[in-house]
Amino acid sequence: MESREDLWAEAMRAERQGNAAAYERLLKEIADLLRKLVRRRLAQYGLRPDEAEDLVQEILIGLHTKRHTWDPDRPFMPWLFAVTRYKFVDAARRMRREAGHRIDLTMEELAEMVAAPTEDLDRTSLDIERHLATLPQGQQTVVRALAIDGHSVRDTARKLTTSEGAIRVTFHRALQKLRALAAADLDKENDK
Amino acid sequence: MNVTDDLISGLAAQAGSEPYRSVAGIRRVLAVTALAALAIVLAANWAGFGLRSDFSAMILRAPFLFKVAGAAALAAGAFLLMRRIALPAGGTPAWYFLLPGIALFLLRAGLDPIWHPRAADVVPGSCTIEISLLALPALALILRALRNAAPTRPTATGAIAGVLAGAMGVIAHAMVCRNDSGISVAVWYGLGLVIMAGLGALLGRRLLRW
Repeated sequence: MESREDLWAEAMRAERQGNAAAYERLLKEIADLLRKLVRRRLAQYGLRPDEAEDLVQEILIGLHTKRHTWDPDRPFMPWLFAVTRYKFVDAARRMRREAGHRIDLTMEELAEMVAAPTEDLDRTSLDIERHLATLPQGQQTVVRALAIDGHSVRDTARKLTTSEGAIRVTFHRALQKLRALAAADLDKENDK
Repeated sequence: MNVTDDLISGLAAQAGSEPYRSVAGIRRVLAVTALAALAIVLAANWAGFGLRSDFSAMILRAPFLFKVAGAAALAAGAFLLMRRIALPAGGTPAWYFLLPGIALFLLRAGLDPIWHPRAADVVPGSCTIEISLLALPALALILRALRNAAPTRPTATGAIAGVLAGAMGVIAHAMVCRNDSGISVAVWYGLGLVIMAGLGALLGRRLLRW
């Protein structure tokens, strides 16, 4: 019976020979292990349960991009643990920071909604749809992804193959424009 | 779960494509970069500051030898430490590697406990500034080489790169500096090394993440 160390080290060597199947099996086994690990530590980093899988993916990507830094003459498990520990802490910290941003944005919106005169909800959402349609295509996509579909900044950036900073800037501009449109509407109504 | 499986098949499809260097290759790059950085720092000192006026008379005397030996020991220790800390599970980061170099500077300070630089026209603070200036290109080169590696402690790795670059700056500066008193050298050279370690830590934290 071979140990996990031997099996996984063997799979890592097979990867270098171009054995995609062995490497895929290895990554799946590592992902299972990571899932257990991440779930146990999630609360400690102030992350939501649905973010566990994101964290697992971050660690897998880090492991994959730096896989050449494992020396095949040395044991694999210590390398795996060192990489996992680093990527876990690094990614968890970044995700928590991002969660902070996310909350900031919704709080901002929330405050505005509280301050705004009460309107009936259907009309508000209709207005939002109408105003959204007047935005440039790029801004529309970002607002829909973040505010309506509830995706994270990072996911959206990845999907649109751009940086997280760019997404935030676009979102911010779109919000300003929407705010201006809403204010103009309000003025019109007051004039009546 | 599904998304992760997709990701995994995507990653697995890249099996065997090894666009980067092996561990031995990474360590070779670090060694070659360190030697090149030292050559550049020495050349920059030669071109910018020249040699001390009494160079040939001092070259076998204690003040000069202690400076060069101490800095060389510090550079060697920092390099060996960097080789380890730059890779995941690359070996325990043995901080005592830095001790021989530090000990030589302290020993010299103990043997020659004089604050005032012997040469009347030497401004000791300028040692700190010149060492840091000389070390900057070395730090840039070393950090660039480290990006090939995978440091799991980017800040500490950057700090060690700073010490290595700073020690190179000291070796070069020893060729021109006429500040020969033990304590003055230990303090002002040490301050230059601390500045470089801090700068390296700051830059490493940002540049060496992966």
